[in-house]
Amino acid sequence: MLAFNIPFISLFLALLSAIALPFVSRRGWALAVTQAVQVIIAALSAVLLVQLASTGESFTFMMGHFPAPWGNELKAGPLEALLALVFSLVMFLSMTGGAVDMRKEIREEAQGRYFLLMQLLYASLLAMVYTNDLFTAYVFIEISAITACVAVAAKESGKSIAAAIRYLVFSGIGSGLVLLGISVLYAITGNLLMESLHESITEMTAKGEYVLPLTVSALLMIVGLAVKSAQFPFHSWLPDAHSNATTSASAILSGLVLKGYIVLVIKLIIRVFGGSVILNMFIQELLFILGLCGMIYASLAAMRQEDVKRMIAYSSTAQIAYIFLAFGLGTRAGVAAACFQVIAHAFTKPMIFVSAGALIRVRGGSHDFGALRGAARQDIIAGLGFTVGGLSLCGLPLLAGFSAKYSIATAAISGGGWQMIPALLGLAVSSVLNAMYYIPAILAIWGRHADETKLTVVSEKRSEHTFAILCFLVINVILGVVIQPITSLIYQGLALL
Amino acid sequence: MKDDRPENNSTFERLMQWAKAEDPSLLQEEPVDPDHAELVAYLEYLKKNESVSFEEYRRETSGEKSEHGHGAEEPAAPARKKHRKPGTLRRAIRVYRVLAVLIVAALMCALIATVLYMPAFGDPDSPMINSVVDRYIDKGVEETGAVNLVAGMILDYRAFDTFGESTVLFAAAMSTVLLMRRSKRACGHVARETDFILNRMGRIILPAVFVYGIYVVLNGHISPGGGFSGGTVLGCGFILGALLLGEERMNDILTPDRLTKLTVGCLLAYGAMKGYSFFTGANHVGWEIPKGTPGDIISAGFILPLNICVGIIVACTMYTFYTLFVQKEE
Repeated sequence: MLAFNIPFISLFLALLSAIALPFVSRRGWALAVTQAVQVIIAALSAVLLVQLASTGESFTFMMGHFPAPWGNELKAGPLEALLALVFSLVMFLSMTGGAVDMRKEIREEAQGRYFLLMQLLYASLLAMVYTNDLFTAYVFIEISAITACVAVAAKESGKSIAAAIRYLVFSGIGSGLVLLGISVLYAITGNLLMESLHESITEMTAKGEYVLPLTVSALLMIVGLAVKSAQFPFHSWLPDAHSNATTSASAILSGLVLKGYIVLVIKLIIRVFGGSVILNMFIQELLFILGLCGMIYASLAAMRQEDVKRMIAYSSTAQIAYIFLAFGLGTRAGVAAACFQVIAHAFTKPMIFVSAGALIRVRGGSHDFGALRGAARQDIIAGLGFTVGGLSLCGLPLLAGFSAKYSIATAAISGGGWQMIPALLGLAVSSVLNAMYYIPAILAIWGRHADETKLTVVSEKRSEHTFAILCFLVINVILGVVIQPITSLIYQGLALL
Repeated sequence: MKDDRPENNSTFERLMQWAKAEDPSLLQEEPVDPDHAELVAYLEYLKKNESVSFEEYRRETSGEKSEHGHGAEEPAAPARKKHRKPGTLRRAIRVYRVLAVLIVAALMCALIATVLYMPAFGDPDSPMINSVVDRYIDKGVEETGAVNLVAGMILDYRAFDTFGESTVLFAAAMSTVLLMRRSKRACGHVARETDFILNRMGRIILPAVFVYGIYVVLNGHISPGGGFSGGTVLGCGFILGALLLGEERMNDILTPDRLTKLTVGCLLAYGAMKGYSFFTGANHVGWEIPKGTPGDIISAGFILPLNICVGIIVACTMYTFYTLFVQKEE
């Protein structure tokens, strides 16, 4: 009975706590309130996950007195609960890990608003996870677009404002394409609820009606979401935006915001267009090729960066490309592998950003590899976080990144078809490329600084980011070791989606 | 994003050099990109002179160079060999423009073709007319108590979407406040002499604007209108009031803090009311709010208070934007 209400309670708790934040007058308390809410929602999602995984069912929650096609509806299954849990944990740990940088880089009077907007961003991500209605999804896409742009601009340096404006333009184009796609789909089906849309679309394809509008609307929505999740070739906004934001914003933007849109792509592929229909539209092949190009291109671009945060940002583009490659395989196993990659990257990239933020702070704010040489020796835990994160993304066994790559590879092999060989080759090449920029960076931070006597020792409170990095490390190892149960949970969730 | 460093050593070698503490970027000065240098010079030039287009500026400076002689051009030439040739950027921009036009044209053709294949607008047989729409029209008044079906749809059937939309407004307002509000000392307001015509006409119009705005909000469930449209009218009223009385006096009544608290309070009230009806509805608890007689001012359950909340949120958001954009840059 309680579990049934958890999606609604999580959403409203997140939304109302964000809205009520201006009433919290003490500044220190604003962060505490938002984090307490995140922990509560994480615990509730865990309860929901355990319950739904054991009973193996999903349910819909009627928002109001009217059943679904007339009113709004939420839907929760094991996958949604798992994603809500992951998003809440990553949100909590990123805010904790970036707290010191946040206090330093954001004006004191603006900090309360920053927490408010990050909490709204979190609420919008939860809504994207739980929604069962395309238009509700669009409303929360808007909220996340606005708040994510401000998360970049909140640092208020010239570069971050410029990056935020660029992000705003890209994000606006993405939202516009999604809205166009939704309205075309509504015009030919008259539905917005995902289940009813699926019925109408299957009926329509059986009759062979409206083939062109259907294809165009699917393309518009998927391209719109790809623009917003920075899939190659629409990624050019990402390196600036993610590298110029404050640490917690960088972590949340690349760990979570990109994933929120990908969750919607998963829902579109499985719940709305229903696998077989989308196969006939060449979208699958398109996603596969773009994913393949993105993996290689972004890794090559990351190798050319001399700014550590830009390098990490390019690596996010490469990791997002893995997800689209997995979609492009066109099988259930491919989507499951994409889900695994979503979770693995959500826990790995924020760890790298938080660690890099701590290392940068140790060296007085310079992002350059030259200045960061030997920084890990001054903050061992942050160095460890960066190292493990980098190795995880290179695909070292027993870490999260390896499990994700392993799932994609097995999905490619089991799927067969022409995609198998390019996918495996692409995975191999991009893993080598990842290693080619992460390993020199890791060597650099652990190396010896040319003149260690000159270094100023910055003494500061370290407990916050140390705690966050240690949590991330533990979760990373868990994800790397416990592959099978998580994969079967994802399969169960996808079957019930 | 373009890497302009000399290409004599590969990226991998450079990265290994970092690891070995021989960072090439520390040894070599970054060479100046001629295009970038030219742009910087142009921006400098703009500060001193009145607006000149970039093309005109180029013509002038190239004329100057040839007049003043040859000294500057000749030795610079070998140094440029390493980078892309001057003008590459402009050529790239030209290609980019052509490509952009082509892509937009292709998208336009695709969308026009799509529209041709879609059901005609207003066609009674189109798939848009289905059981969803029928129920709204047939049972809307009975189920929501609102004579204005649109109000019934947005504030009762699909109230969660509308809550999201109000939150979009709130997020936009809070973002603008975060980025633009400076502490009181840093910003002042532009002193403005009130115009005679504005003053006289404003004093006549202002009460009517407020009365009309309040009417549209309160009658949202009976007649066309509602929180969003009425709130816009009220917001215009606030802005007109600020123009008449000056921002200082308006600020005494509606301080930024009070505006935020008012918005937040209304949004919380909205959330609480809808949270109540979502929760009771989903759990089939009953405890419904009585609908009243459709057409009465006190009817339609929560729709009237919700309209008031939305109206206040919209009005406050509009006025907040106005105050932020008129504040003086320090």
